[in-house]
Amino acid sequence: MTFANPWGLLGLLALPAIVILHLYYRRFPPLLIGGLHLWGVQAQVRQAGRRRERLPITASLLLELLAAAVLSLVLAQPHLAESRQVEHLIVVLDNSASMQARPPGKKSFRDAAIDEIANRFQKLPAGSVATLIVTGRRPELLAGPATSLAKPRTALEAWNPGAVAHDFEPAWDLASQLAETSGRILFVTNHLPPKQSPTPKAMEIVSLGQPLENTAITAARWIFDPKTKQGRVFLRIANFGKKPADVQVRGRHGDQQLFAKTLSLNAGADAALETDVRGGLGDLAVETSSSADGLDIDNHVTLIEPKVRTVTIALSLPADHAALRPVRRALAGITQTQLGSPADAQLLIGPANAPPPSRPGLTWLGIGPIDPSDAARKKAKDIIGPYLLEKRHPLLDGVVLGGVVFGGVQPITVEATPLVSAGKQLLLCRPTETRTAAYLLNLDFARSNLAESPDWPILVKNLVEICRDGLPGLKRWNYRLNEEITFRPDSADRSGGADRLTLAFGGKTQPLARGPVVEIPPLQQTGIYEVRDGDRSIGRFAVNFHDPVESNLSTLGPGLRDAVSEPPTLGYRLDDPFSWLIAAGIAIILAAVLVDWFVLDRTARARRVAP
Amino acid sequence: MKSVRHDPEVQQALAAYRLASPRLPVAGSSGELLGRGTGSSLEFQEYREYLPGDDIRHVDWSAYARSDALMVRLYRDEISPRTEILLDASRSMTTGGETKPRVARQLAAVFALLSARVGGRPTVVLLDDARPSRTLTLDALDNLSALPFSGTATLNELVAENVVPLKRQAVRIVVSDFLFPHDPDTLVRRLSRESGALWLVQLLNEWEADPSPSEGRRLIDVETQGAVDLLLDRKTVAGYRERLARLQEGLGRSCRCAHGRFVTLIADRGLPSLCRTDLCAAGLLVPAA
Repeated sequence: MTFANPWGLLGLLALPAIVILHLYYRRFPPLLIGGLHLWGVQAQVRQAGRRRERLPITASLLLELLAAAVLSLVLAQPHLAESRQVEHLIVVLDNSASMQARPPGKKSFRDAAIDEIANRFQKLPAGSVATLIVTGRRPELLAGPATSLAKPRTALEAWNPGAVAHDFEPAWDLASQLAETSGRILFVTNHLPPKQSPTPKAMEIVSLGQPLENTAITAARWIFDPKTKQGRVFLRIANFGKKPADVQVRGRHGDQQLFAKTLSLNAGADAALETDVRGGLGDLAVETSSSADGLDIDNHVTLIEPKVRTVTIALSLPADHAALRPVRRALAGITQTQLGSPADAQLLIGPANAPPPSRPGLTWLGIGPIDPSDAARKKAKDIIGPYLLEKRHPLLDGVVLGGVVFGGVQPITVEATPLVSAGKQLLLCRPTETRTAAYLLNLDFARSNLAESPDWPILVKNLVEICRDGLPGLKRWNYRLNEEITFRPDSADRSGGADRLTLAFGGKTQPLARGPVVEIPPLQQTGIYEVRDGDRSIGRFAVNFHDPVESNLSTLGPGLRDAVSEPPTLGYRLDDPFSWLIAAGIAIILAAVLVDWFVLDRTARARRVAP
Repeated sequence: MKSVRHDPEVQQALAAYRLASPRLPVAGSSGELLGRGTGSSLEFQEYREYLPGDDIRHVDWSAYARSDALMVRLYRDEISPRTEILLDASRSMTTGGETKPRVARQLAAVFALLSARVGGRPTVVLLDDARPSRTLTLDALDNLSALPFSGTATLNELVAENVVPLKRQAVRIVVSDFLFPHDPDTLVRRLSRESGALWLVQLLNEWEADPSPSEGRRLIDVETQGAVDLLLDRKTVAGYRERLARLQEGLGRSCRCAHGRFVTLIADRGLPSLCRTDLCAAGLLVPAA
């Protein structure tokens, strides 16, 4: 027997105290009688002080001793089951979407995992505890830590694996931290990780998977042409199985079927499906079906119709400026743009010698020559490279500048962040002394071949897209699971700011932090989400499952890998199983005190009655 | 204080009962009771030979004619018996509250008044610490009401010290609890010495006669002030009862040897009940005709 609170045993000191009280502080009420000799004792003559007498074993004494002893034991919290071994089982659950796969005529891997865990729980000694961890980019505790087995069982019923492919190491690390030196770790998955994986030594791995045929939608996109008012849906269907498969593809809007096609896919092959849809649908659902399909989550796609986000561009280049023609030619190939006045424009393209207006939300591109005077143009240099590009900047996404000659380059005197440079000479830079997102292209198109290179339209396109990203509202409307989503709230709304910005999904809402750019944390569930500003809808977007890794069920397989080291059994136990003992102790205390009270009361009544 | 003579219960007992006659005639002056010796009554007792000095009026001449011997008729003596009521006035008679001393006073008064009714010339001897013991005549019977029962000397001690004025041939009625250390044979022998009759009335309260088990008590003897802490459990109480029974049995046996009577009364039952049942059953009282 052990005691959780040994200090409670100090209460046993009350026992000798009670005995002393009964021994030396008995209060025998005097009774005047005649014929003391008839009571068979010798009369005593009281002397000073007390003398030791035989302890009277009375009911009151016994009850008080019992109450004090039991009270001490209750305070000390005895544990009678010391010898019983208990364990702390930490279960790491593979939360990948492939755990939902279901072999024909059998339970899904998820259900098999729940059964396996239930079997493990049954083998644990009574009083053991468990912790459930689900894997993911950020592993989460499904139950625990170190909770009784009832809670994990309940949590498993609600477990719905659906994550895209991810590393398991963070979950393993968390399990190792929770296990410390005494816990046992069990990883339940549908495929054994590679042997070189950094698995914890105390972790046992159980794989319940098996190879399955599967077809999936691996990509879906919906574009909209504002000129023709027509939409176009692009789909990619893949067969991850080892047998050919016929895949039926159906698209519908509500109850209305928009298209239906059947694709014949060889083993391991994929095919693209492209179809026109009329504008104004708002959303459409695509689903596939095939005779051999192990996973359901990758057969459904919901798409939101893209909105038109037009960028207004103003050109302030003089008519004789050498860059005017190349700019116009580049803009002609970019959709969802329009020309406007500088006051309304989001993008202003002008000569480099004219300073940009300082206005938030405006993007300005100044094109050289920086000094149009003849003297300055004569001193300008022509540079053929090599160029140093700031590749991380979105403006230079896809730009290589191979064979491009930067002609008419002049010294730059303003403070600027280099984007393209040659040596110490800045060729494309971002001036920092203005609130406008300004870019300065230091060249003279009359002396450069940039306009003829393929990098020019890319550069202009990137510039326009930077402007488009700065427009309020969602940038895109169809995302993948775990994809980062950002949007800009309307500047007019920003001034208000009183209403809560929320994200609604499935009848639930979650608050969003309002800012110039609102970031939505990676989403784990597929479906249609809606961003609301108060009661007003800002926009809807769809999140779909597109993950070829998880859709490929051919790599799954059963397996078992024992722990390398066996952890010691826990000396850890919950108090719950012995709560009845405490309750019984309290009941005994109450009964003893109550009976003692009756005994004393009866004695008091006898004193009143007796002469 | 209320006069014991006019106590309603005493008056009721006087009206309902009369004192029973002792089985052996006792000496006394001429009265309504027959004496043990020869006397001048009309009741014939026996013959004996004439002795010089005999009253020749009692010579049976017919017998002399038939037998030629002088025979004298002897007649029973008619007496008025002297009655001594020895009332234990010690502190032990006060235990249990007012009931026991009240009944003791009532008993003394009843015995005295009933004795007086038959010309018994009763006296009540108060057995307290007074040396010699005080005696109340019938006229001073009301003094019983003020009797404090404060004596510490026991009946046994007083009798042994001969401080009790005992008259010869008297009917002695002793009212006491007899809860003092003594030898019944010795005590009864001393009390019955030269007595006409001896009646012992043991007066106890309910608890003294039948104590019930209870928790611990400090028992203090009211006369000796001796004290002892005792658990009045069943075993202890049983021992007390056994010793009390042995005492009562000894007193009864000694009384029978002395041709006396012994009765135990429980004061809590009240005088009317005691007279109706215990005293009548013991032959001390008889219902008035």
